[in-house]
Amino acid sequence: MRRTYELALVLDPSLSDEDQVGLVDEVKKMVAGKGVEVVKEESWGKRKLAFPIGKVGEGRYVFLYVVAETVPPPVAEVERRLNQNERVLRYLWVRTDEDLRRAMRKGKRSVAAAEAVGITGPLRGGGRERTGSDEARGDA
Amino acid sequence: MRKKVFFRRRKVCKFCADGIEYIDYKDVKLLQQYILEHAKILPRRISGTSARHQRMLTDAIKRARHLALLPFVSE
Repeated sequence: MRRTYELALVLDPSLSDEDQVGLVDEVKKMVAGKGVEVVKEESWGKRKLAFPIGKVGEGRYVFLYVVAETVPPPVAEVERRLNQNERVLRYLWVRTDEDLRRAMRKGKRSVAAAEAVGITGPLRGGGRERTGSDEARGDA
Repeated sequence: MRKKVFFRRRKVCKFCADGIEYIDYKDVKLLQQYILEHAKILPRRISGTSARHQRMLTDAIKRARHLALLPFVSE
């Protein structure tokens, strides 16, 4: 069973861009293994936090899109190591394949997160233009 | 006495209307529309969101809160 995941990371804002790349590479190495691949990486750069974590008010947001063909990724092991790393403020594993498959089956809109991990499917009401989630939902 | 005589505008679920079947925790702009000023989740009796979509929405909001994308409280 092909499973897809997202791993969200909130990193120490005092890291330099190079440090961030290094740290993210480290995490990618922990995640990837046989049958497990990081297929996409998304970085939001520095962003203000909605509330301070410890003493910091900003964080560097990075999202890893993970595809596991046969065996699940080593979630517990990665979490253990992220917990030990004080440059990682927060992390979140989300398994997405079930929700995304359902969304592609039933929804009328493409989902950016699904495209990232290669989940495609029929959308109802076919002819609708594909729109980026931001401008499509921007109105209040 | 079976029905109230005054009208209320019928509320429709925005997600049903738009055919949205996946609510992304990263979509802060969207989620912000469903929290009150004190950062509580907007109840569906006010927003009219369907039960399914409200469930997806609360999950997404809670994920976003964990990542400090959304506040738990704000004064």
